This record gives sequence, C-alpha cells and structure tokens, in this order.
Amino acid sequence: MHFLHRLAARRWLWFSILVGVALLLVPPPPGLTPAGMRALDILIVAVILFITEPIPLPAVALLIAVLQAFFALASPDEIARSFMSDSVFFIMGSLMISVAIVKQRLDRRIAFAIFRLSGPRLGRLAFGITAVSALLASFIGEHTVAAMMLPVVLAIVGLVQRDHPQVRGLAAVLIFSVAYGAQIAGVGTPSGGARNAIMLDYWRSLFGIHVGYLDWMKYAYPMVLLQIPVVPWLLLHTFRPEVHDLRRALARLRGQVRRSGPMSLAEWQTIGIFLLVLLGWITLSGRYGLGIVALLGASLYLVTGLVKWEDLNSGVNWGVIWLYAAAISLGLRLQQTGVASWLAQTFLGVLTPLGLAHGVGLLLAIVLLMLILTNMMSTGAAVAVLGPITLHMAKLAGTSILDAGFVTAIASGFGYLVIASTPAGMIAYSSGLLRPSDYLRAGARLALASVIILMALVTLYWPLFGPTH
Amino acid sequence: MRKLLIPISYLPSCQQALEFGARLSISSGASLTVLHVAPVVKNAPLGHKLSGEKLAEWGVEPAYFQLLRQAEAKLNALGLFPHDTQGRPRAKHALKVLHKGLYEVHLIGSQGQAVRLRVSEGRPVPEILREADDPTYDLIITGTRGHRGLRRFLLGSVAQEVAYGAPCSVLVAKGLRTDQPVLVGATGRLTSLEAVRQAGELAAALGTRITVLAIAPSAEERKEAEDHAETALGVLAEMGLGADVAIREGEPAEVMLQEAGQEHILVLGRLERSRVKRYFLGDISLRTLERSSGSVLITTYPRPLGEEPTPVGPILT
Repeated sequence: MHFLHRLAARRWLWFSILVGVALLLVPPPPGLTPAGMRALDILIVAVILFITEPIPLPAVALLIAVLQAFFALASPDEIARSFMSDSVFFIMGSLMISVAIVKQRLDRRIAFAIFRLSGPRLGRLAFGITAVSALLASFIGEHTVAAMMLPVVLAIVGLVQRDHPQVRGLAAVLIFSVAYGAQIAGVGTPSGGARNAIMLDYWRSLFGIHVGYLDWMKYAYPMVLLQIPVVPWLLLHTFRPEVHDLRRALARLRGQVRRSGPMSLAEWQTIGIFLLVLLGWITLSGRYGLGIVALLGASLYLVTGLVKWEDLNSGVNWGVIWLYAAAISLGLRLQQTGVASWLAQTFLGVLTPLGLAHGVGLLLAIVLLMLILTNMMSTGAAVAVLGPITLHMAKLAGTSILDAGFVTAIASGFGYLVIASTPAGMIAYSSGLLRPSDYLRAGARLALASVIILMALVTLYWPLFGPTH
Repeated sequence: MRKLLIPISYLPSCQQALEFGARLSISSGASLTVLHVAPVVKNAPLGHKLSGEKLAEWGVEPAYFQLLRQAEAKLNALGLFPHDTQGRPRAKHALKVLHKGLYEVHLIGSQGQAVRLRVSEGRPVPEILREADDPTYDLIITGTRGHRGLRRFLLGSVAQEVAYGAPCSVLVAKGLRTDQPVLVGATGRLTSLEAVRQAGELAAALGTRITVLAIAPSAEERKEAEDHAETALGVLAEMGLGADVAIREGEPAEVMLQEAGQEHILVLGRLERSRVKRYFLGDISLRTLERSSGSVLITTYPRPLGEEPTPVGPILT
C-alpha cells in the first residue's frame, strides 16, 4: 500500500539515479576525457542530491567515496587521503571548540553585557545584538553564536509576550539580529565557517597559494564591519516591531536568570584557551596548519576537563564533517580529471557575450552564481562544489585567483532567503515564531545590500593590495 | 465514531479542526489524539540536542510545547474535561516518555474518553500517516493552507496527501464550524451509502441538518438519481434521521461543488481502489477536495478485519 507513496516521496532519488546512469551512457563532449565524464557524473548527481535532499546528506558523502572507487577515478588509498586534510582537521577541531564554548554559560555574560551597553530601546538593542553576534561569530563560528545567542533573544520575546501577545515583528527583528548577525560574520576570518577552510585548501592544493589568518582578515573583515549597521536598519524597516521599550522584559530576564557572581575559573579558562588558539591560528598556522592548532585547542579543553568527550560526541554533527570531507575530495577529483577547467571554460563561453568574462564582470557573475546556489544548498557544499570551477574561471580569464576565491567564499554566505541554507536560519526557524516568507522579505533586501557592499570592496578596496595571483 | 486524530500546526484552519473535533468528542464520546509534527533541524554543524539544552537554560520552551499547551487550554475551555463542584478542571494527567526525549500527555475526558496530546519529529505527512495506521482511528480532522494551482503544485498539500494516503475517513477544514449543515452526494454505490451513513453520524453528533444530493448527468437519468436519493433516505431513516433531498442535473463534480459552496460540509465517498489504481486513475472525491472552497469529508468504506474489500461498480469519473 505504501509502496507508491514511498516511490513518490523519493522521486528525486530516482531522478538522480536516472540522470547518473544516463550520463554514463552518453559519450563525453569534446575536451573531456572518459574519466572526466565519470567525475562530472558524480558531481551532477551529488548536486541534485545536495539540493533536493531525498536521502540524508552524510549518505551522499559516503556515496561520493564509493563512486570514486567504482568509477576507477582513484585508488582506495588516494580516495581516503583526499577525504582527510588539514582543512578537515580544522573543521573538526573548530566544531569541538564550539561545543566546549557553548557548554559554558558565557552566553549569560555576553547577554548582560549587551543589555548594559545598549539599554532597553529596541533599535539600540538590535544593533547591539547584531554587532556582538557578528564580532563573536567572525572568530568562533556562526553556528556557535547562533546556538548561544538565539536562546537569549527567544527568552526576551517570551517575556515581552506576557504583556503583548502579538509581537511577531519584534520577534523577527530580534531573531534575525542574531541569525543574520552571525551569518554576515562567518566570512570574516578563516575560523568563521567551514567554507573558508575549504577555500584555503583549494588555493593551496590546486594553485599553491598560501593565505594566512591575518591575510584573510585583511580582505574579508571589512565586509563584516560594513554589514553590521545594515542588518538592524533593514530589520527595523522591514518588520515594524510592535513594542520598542523592553525595560520590563529585560528586568524580568535579570530576575529569572540570576546573576551567578563573578566569572568562574572555568569561564576564564574557556576564554583563555580560545585566545591561545586564536593566537596560534594567527602566528603558527603557516608552520603547523590551522587544523593542527584547532586540534590542540580541542585537546586542551578535554585535558582541562572543561568539556567531556561525551559532550563533544553528541554536540558535533559528525555527518556535516563527512559532507565537507567528501565535497573537498570531489573538488580535487574535478581538478585532476580536467572537469574543473572544462566547466570553467564552458561557463566563460556563456559569460563572454554578456561581457562578464573577465575582471570585475567575472567576479560579479561568480557572486550571482553563488548567491543562487547557496540559497539552494548548504553553504559549505556550495563552496566545495563550485570553488575549483570559479578559481579556474579566474585563471583562464587572467583575473586574480585570490579575488575570485574571496568572492566565492563571501558570496556563499548570502544564503539569507531560504531557511534551510544556513544553520542559524534553521535554528531560528525551529523557534516557530517566523514564517518562511519572513526570510524572503528580509533576506532579499539584505542580499541586495550585501552584493552592493561586496562589489564596492572588489572595485575600491581590494585593488589597494596591488596585483595578486 | 470511536477515535479521532487531529494533526495541528500553526494554521487558523487547524484551530477550526481542533474545535470541531473537541465538540464531536464531547457529543459522541470519541477518543481524541492531537498530534503536532515538529520539524527537525538537520545538517547543522552542532547537534540539535546542544541547542535544545541552551534553550532550556534560558527557560525557552520548544515552540511545539506552546502549541500543544494552547490546544489543551482550548479543549478545556470547550468543556472536554470534567470539572469539580467549584468549576475547576479535574483533568487527570499522565506523562508518557517517548523516544528522542519527547513525551506525550494523557488526559481523561468528561465521558471517560482518552485524550492524548503528542509530538513527533519529522516530516508531517509520513508522521501523520504512521499515527493513522492504528486501525482504531476512524476519522482524521485536518486543517489546510488552502493553496491552489501553482503554489499547491510547488509546495504540496499536507491535507491532500493525508486524504490520499489515510486508511480512514478524512475531514479537511476550510472555514469549518459545528453548526454547518451537511451535504452528502448519493450515487447508489456502496461507497456512497457508507458516505451517507457517516454523514448521518456526523449530522446527528452535531445536531445539524443533512441534505442528500443526487445528480443526474442528463435528463434521462433523472429517475435513477431519484432512486439513489431514495436509498440514501432509507439509510438515514434507519438511523432515525430525516433529511432534505435535492435532485440536480449536470456534471456531478461541478454541481456538487456549487451546491455545497462554503456553507455546507460536503461528504463524499472515496472509491475503494487500491493505492496503485488511485495513483494512476485518480479519484473524483480527491479531485473535488482539491477544488472545494469549503470543508470536505472524504469517507472510506470500512473494511472489517479478515474480509475482502467489497467490489464496487464501474467508475464514473
């Protein structure tokens, strides 16, 4: 009885299998080897599965490994090696550090610090929340800040609701202040998000370009700073909050969550270890790699007993790490088999008549491509899949590979429109206070603003660093 | 009616469904399950247990918790639970822990019926159908977003898919009220007689009027339509119910929709087809549901355990 229902529910899985088999039977187009055709086949099937998600994404990751072996693209050892790299260590280590930080009750300190600085008026509070979320997220990762700060604003909304039952506008402003605040900052430093580590990996392994922690910040951090004031301004104008004075709610919150005295030793240790890791990333990553430093931090948290392994085990979604590992492995295979440059050439062929095939025009085209893709699938997967292609496009067009990489990584964070495109978006939606259309209303405006700011940086700011790779 | 299932979400029509179900349960003593399917946060780098812990630290309840509490308050306000002499609710609570850290609340209604409020996590349609697999359910009352055309095609409709896949009758609420008259189509088939019987049961429980509508596709078939109406009246008379009769000519689905409007609860029998046949051949009742602007009850032919499905006549669609 349920067979057809299942069949219909899995229609995208069947579709992807059909496409996969069909592409195996088609002769490769000119310029592509048979091995390249098989790698392209894996890429297309993986993208369909990433977007439509008929099976759990970690399962797609496992299949990427299996298919590489079955299609004779590499030996099992080579496949295993391509799954694991310093970038994957970095993603793993950063997530473990995230769990250790979230486990502490630092969110309480941060929240009360924001309240003290910004006062009870909604406009200033939204700005304060956005700014603090963004500054923190740029170093400790957007998912960490979303997990820490969303409960704070949800608690505020809940307390305001006691006096004013209808506060959808207020809820949207506060929730998006955290979600978008964290999201705009994920690109600020390499440790802000996994996609940055993937881009660093591609620069190094595909083109031999080494970019340090501070070099990254020099290019990308102004993006964070310029977007901070835009977010609260747009939110206040989009959602028209019903309540502006939050004095009573904040007073209640203080009463409810009692002050736990001065900072505890554990809290100082947590901050201390993170600062040590940050220092390591800035000074030692050229020698030891970002990943090893992150693993050092994670082991310090375990050694000092600030976090238990059981917490790390349940707090980190290891499936996401598999996903990134698989995407990086696939990206390397696309490069090896010549698919990346073939696809880059094809795309450039399309862009040439539009006058977007080199320089700023090409970068704008990449931004728009990423904007579409990142709203359809996971941010990290979008960078992992498109990274090798956009970098090759830049190389073929004689445009800076560094600029193209930054533009790819930064624009991948513009997934404001769809709930599922970012972790912060999903956690915010699970609060039940937002509708999908809220994401479209606020997200479309913010996406436009972000594209403009990014293109301003590309044309006015990055040229100051002189000609690069 | 023995047991009702009311899947709820944040839609206004779900509140209509809840209120309707509560009144039905009060008047018929049917057991009631209120189910909310909460979405799961997938593919976040940090496990969702961790963010759950943080929310608990700040005293923020999961959104579904509030929804179910409002539902319980609503059921109480409608008088589903017994009150003591001072007018305080005397509902008995029992918590049952489910897997994944969820739990459900059990209460006892004023007529001794079981009332359950439960949450499950996942995608709505499979979860609702899994719950409905319990053979003691005989009616699902569900709200709907009411999208049509392209939006329905793109977004799908939970109500539609539940009506399509459920093993029991399904009432889809669009402006549903308990004082609405019931309109039932009589086609002379066994499924139609079952629809008439369930329509009668519904009208009796609600205390509202019932109209039997027989449609003749052409003037020559008018006599046949009158016979079908007569048979339907007979079924209702056996239940001790009187009914109005309307005989119309025209294309059955069109006439039915027109006559029902938004005023009536339209009752239609679903053909007893296997899912395979339904998938390929479709079903007039499900297609009518898609186009209706008012509430529609799609009834199934109850299949007693161990018996083969009753063969039905030719398909008219």
